[in-house]
Amino acid sequence: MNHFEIGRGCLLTCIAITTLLPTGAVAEFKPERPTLSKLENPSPNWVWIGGAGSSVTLMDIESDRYLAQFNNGVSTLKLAIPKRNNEFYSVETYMTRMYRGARTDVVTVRSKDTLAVIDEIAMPAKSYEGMSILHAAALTDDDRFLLGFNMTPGQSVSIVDMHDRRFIEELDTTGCALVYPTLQRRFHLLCGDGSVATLQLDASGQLLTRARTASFFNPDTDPVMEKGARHGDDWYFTSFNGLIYKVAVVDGETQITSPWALVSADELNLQWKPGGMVPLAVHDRDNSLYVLMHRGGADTHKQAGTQAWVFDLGSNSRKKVIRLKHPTQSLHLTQGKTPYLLALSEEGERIDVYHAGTGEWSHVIESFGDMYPALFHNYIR
Amino acid sequence: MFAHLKNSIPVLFSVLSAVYIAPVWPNTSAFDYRMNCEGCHAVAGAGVEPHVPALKNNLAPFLRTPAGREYLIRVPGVRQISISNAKVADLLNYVVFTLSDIEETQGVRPFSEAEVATYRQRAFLDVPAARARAMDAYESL
Ligand code: HEC
Repeated sequence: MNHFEIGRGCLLTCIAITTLLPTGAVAEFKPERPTLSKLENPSPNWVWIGGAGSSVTLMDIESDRYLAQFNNGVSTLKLAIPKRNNEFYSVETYMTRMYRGARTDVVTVRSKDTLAVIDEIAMPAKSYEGMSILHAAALTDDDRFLLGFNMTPGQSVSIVDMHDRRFIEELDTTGCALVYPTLQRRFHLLCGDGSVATLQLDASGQLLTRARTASFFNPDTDPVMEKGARHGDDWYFTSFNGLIYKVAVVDGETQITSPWALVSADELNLQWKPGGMVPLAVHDRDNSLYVLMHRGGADTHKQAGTQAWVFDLGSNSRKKVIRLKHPTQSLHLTQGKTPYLLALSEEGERIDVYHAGTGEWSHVIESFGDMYPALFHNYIR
Repeated sequence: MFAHLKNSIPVLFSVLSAVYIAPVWPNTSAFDYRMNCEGCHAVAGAGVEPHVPALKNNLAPFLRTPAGREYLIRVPGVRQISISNAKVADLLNYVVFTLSDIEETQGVRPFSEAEVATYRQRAFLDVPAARARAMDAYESL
């Protein structure tokens, strides 16, 4: 009886509440419409983060804000960002069964502000796969031709016309690897005998000249790492023991200036060495070269760094030592008015952000997508 | 107890360093092949078609003309390895005479250190073009 009473009371109240609802106690439900938001007002501190694994993330480094993400197939990151137009390119590999089946390689053209795929250009299914490296794809300086490094392990470069949106040709590179673009549709490659090859394309993307320097380093005694950094039209490379070589084009010819040492005799004795996945970074306006350094014996060139040494590229002298908070595998610099130095930790779980000028630690970025990060590219070139 | 342990560390270290013997690397062409070629050309020169050519029973066109022999010495996988000219000559002879069947190589002159030295100095600028030249020379034999 009691139970019935209570039940009836509730029943009445509930009816009362529900009848009240449509009469304006709660605002009318307006379904939201999905919209496509654009990436607006890009900052020089927007940085793409990628590596192995298929997601590539855009972060605002300064505000630690996650901005966007895209998927680049089953490839390591091979990004090429033009200076002039509002699109960007990624060399990507797809297989019909994810990691097996028929393979297709493409250059995917995406919009810079919506990331929408605008176009796709098929290229020979040969593009380099392996350790993440910044030099597996690049654009010629006029933004016209994409240079895709192939390794099957036969080495070659695929030339793709980004203006006419077509694959043009595959150039044999005779035991020389990767692509380091420089002025007037030229690009360098590093060769296994310690020399540099330089190829030049004409305005239609055909091979115009091909040259090779004498060997400038000895791959047996002090090899040069393939991880270079560009400053102006010059490329900088370091040897395992910290000799810095500059590769420049002078009067149309590739020249390698005699090397200078990163380390003093004392530091050499203490076994200070450059190393890591991305050990070199250049700050353009500041004329400085940042080098990731560690202490270690022979063949530790991939060991994480504990300090970043900053050199003035005019005098080749060291101006600063930045003690890094965590062992670091990759360095990167943003190039705006407030430039930052990014230090990606050895395990890839954190990016420590430093003020590039002072070397002072600013903040840490710990959430940037699901991948094995290794490489950074500035959103604005 | 710890003092005791502390004393034994240098002893242990000297025992270990006395026992450690630097590895002696075999001084054979089979070893040079394994270290410098096998990763790409596979065991016994089987190759990985279509990307890496076989070496076993596949080099006959290049053995009997100067352009062909030059090609074998200057192909990047051979030219750019870090062993002496004499050892490259031995290695090529191993690849040609040991990996291939005897019918392939009858009457073929072995490679010499001098021949390797002549060609090895300069790099090819275009490997497929050099291969085509070598094939032309063979076809007009
Ligand atoms: C990095 C992989 C790689 C290594 C290591 C390598 N090769 Fe090659 N080799 C190739 C490829 C790829 C070709 C096809 C031509 C080219 O692209 O260089 C080739 C071609 C050749 C050829 C010419 C065959 C033809 O049919 O054109 C010979 C001979 C040869 N290699 C011998 C060797 C020997 C001997 C070694 C060890 C000293 C060696 N290679 C190491 C990848 C390799």
